[in-house]
Amino acid sequence: MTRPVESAPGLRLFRPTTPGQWAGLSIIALWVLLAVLATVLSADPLAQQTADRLQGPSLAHLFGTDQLGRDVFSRVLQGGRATLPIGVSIVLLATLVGVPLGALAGFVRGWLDEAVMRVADLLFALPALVLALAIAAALGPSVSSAVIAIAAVMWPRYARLARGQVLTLRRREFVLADRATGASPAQVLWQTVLPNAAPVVTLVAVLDLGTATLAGATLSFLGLGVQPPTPEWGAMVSTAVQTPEAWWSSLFPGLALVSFVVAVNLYGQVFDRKGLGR
Amino acid sequence: MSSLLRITDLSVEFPGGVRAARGVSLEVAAGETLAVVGESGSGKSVTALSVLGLLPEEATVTGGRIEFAGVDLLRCPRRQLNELRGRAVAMVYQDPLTALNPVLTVGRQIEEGLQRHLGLRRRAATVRAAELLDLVGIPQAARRLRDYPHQFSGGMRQRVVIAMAISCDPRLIIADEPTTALDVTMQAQILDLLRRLRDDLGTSLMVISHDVGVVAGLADRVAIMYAGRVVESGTAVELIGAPKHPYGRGLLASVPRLDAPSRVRFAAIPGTPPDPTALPAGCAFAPRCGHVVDRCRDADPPLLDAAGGRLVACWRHAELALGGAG
Repeated sequence: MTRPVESAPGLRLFRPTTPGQWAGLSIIALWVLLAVLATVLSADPLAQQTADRLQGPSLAHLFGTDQLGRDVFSRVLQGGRATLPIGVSIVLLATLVGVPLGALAGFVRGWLDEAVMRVADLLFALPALVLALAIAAALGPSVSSAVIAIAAVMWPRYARLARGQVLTLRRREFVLADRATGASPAQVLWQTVLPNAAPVVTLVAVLDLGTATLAGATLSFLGLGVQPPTPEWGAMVSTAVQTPEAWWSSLFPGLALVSFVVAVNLYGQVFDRKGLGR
Repeated sequence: MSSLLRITDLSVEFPGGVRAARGVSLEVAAGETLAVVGESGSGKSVTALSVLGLLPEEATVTGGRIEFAGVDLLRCPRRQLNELRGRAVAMVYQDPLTALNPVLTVGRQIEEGLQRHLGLRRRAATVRAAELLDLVGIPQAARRLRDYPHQFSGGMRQRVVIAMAISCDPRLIIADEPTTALDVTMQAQILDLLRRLRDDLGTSLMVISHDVGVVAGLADRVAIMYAGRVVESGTAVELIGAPKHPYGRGLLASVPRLDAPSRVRFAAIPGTPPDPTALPAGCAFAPRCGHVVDRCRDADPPLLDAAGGRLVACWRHAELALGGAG
């Protein structure tokens, strides 16, 4: 095909092609698998064995123990059950808010377009993490407020993206052709325009998963997300900072987070090919 | 003959004072095929798009009427227009690659109209869609319903577009340059198909083309457009046999003929079409016309009856016909 994007995009788009992309996808899959199986694979992450406080890595405690004598290995595995869903929720929420707003703005134009895009511009102009911190603090520290706070600063990205897609798509001949068969504006938007915008939105969402996960962990690190004693990678690093001599209690959750974010970015190269643009 | 579609004095303007259509009047009778011929920018596509209310947003209809089977298309409610679109009036596009939705199977795209307009259920629509693909000459129709547009060749895609157009048994099909994006053998096949379907279904057809040769064998009547106006119209046989407007003559003289001596050069019309933002005061063709007189530069000639249902917009067509000048 001379115009690759014209062919039905489908799932082929998401298949890794280089070793790096395969590695990225494997690491993502591994963390998801470990998070799902965490209860089977690990001990109670909350069990405190005060006698075994701050033990280095050993066969009994692969990643050592933290200052309350909890098994860091178990907490890292269980931590993924908090960190990863938070990242996914942030991206989902930002997409669910941003895409409909942006798509409607681009499709209807007029005052709605102006209103949505001015709000988006405003949010873009402010430093994202500072704004997210303020929102999370205002909502009170909890998992849901962390998700809402970060999604609140991320949705403009999706609104802009969806609007841009809709603006180019609405002038395409097949959209005109759809109108010529008597489709109502809602049908045109829902059945013809949005499915054609979906691939691009999806790939940006996948690329953003790493950033969103990191942002979620950051809020937890700052005490505004997941609350102790629930294990979460960002919160674990935060607690471990108080005991710098026990390097293992901060290193392993930190590595977990970094490896996941790097893996997402490695895998994200899948979309970095000719004809797609980013 | 009662007309199914009647366009009266249609004017369409684009920003910047671009007058894409300047008082276009056309008629299509029931069961008749009208060919609208003209070069790029002559306003033929704009006229066609106006019928279905599909002009680009920046364009405005500044005057005229479009009546279809008694309905005023420019003023009827949007709901009514949506009911007519695809049901009573269907469209075939120039480039079948861009006219089909790349992310839906062709079956789904054909079924959509059937469900929307004929109220067919999903299963009945699928059966009908297969029949339609078969009717337009796509082999293994039932199987190909599940294919996406990019899995079809150019000619096959145009057949799909035509199948969509005839799906709800429309009374009028508007084909905007239906063969321009296809190679010559495909052109002939698609034109054959259009002719066959028109005859079998008794549909009216409005074919838009820049190529007189393409429509010569298909049309009952021909209208020639130039710079946003109809300059001549008449039955295909008469008009193609003996065009009366100097532009029509030039257009026909530029078509290669099989019966012409081999070393004769094509007669090109000198000059280029006028800038639509700065049209001359008189006849728009005057600057390129070999028969121009002062009157042509002063006043734009109206489209007047030149006997036998023939309409010509030229001050001098009568004397030119007598003098046999060409």
